[in-house]
Amino acid sequence: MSAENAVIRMENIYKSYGKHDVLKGVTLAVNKGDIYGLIGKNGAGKTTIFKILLGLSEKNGGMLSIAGSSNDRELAANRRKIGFFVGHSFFSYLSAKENLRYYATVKGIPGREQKKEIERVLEIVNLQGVKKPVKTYSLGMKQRLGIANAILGNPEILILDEPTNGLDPQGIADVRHLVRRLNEEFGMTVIVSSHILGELEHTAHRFGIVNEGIVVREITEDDLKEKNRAVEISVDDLEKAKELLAAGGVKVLREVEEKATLEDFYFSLIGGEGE
Amino acid sequence: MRKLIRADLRRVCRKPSMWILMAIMIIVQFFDVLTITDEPMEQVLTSARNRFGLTFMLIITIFIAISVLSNDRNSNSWAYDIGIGIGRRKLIWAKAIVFVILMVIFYAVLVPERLFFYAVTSLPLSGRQLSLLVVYAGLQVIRGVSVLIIDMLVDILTDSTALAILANVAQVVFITLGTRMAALFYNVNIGDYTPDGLVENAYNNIAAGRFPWQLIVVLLIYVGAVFAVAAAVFRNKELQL
Repeated sequence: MSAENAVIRMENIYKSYGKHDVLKGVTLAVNKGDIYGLIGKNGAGKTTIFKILLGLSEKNGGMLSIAGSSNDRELAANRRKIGFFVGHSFFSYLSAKENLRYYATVKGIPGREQKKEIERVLEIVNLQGVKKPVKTYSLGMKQRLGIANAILGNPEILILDEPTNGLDPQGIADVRHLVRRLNEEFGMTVIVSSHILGELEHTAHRFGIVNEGIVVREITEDDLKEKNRAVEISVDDLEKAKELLAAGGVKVLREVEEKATLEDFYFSLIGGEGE
Repeated sequence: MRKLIRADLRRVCRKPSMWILMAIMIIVQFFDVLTITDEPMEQVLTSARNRFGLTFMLIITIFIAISVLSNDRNSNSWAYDIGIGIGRRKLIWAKAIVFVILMVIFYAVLVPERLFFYAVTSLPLSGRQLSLLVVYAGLQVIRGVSVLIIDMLVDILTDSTALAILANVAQVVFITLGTRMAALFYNVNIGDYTPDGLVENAYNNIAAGRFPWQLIVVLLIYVGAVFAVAAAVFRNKELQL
């Protein structure tokens, strides 16, 4: 694990609630420019890791560093570089713009820049023009507003805790593309958590697998590729291809007839993007 | 902290309920003045003080508790504010200052409105009587802040704004009425140690030209010490996402 360029570093973090140990020595590093996927089943400790990162919970041991600082005072200051979505944090009687205006003020975005910044983030998440109060929004709209709030002020580090919970396939694909765009176009370092492996696999560059309060392993896309010995080739004549491979001394180990996935069917029928 | 205060005041003032409540209280005051007949002026002022000290106090403090504490809890905005780097001490101070400003906003509208109606209806109130009414209203701002600080402590300790609102009602209505009845029927002056009693006695001292030392007790104990306890509890409190 390379930590030289780490914007977030956790070393041997412990957290207990009474006699129940929730984190038992979590060590991970998120490098600048990463999309880091935190994977684990419900109750593995992902949310507790975020709570400690965000200062909502005190660790019982270990070292936490954000943007190179582990000093308490600097940690608080460096948290200003973080934007996060961990569920809905809106005033239900206010509209999307009014909620974002509240948080823009709290984040210290100057008044004269707020309108432009709010319109920018609403456009990114495709919520521009919605004037009703948040209590009338669908779950998908609330998720998108949460992400808009997270990216308000162009944070350097973005934390997304299960951002696709409750979304339909189109919504999931939209979030996936948005995360990639925020990373590639806006240079954000993203930490995204999920318990759905397939979703993260298409989104993140590096992965931390959390189980029972520890990061069992950190892996990269290259690690996945090394393990992947299957290559997909499209041919016009399967039988001839097999003959040629055999003649060249290549053994075909496995022949898999790939069925179309439900996702393939869904997007082909209703249109829209998917991977 | 200023940004947080500004953001909170802006979002509370956007609530239609704030202005509806204000309008209702203005109308109530209008009818209060309209229905004055041959009462002695002291009775008129006593009624005004009761209005400021009980009826409006209850409405205003409950509104502020809901608009700040309850709305914040439902939106989980405290967790969000801390997560983006707002210190816990700053956060809780900001909320206390918002309480003060909102109390002042309400009484800054209601008091001049009542005085205006008195002037328009040519009630024979002296300048001193009117000044004392303004002083009384000002003291209710302090009392209201003490109620809200206790509400905030209850909210932080119990994670329940419903209990905080109950504490609010208990302070403004039950404890006030209970202590006054105890004084009236049983000659027991425990009310002298409550914020309501202390503020009443401070007012009486001001009216009599004496130093209102009771205010220092209210500010030090019921505002200052309670706030310090709330801040200490909040500093170590685990917040949920």
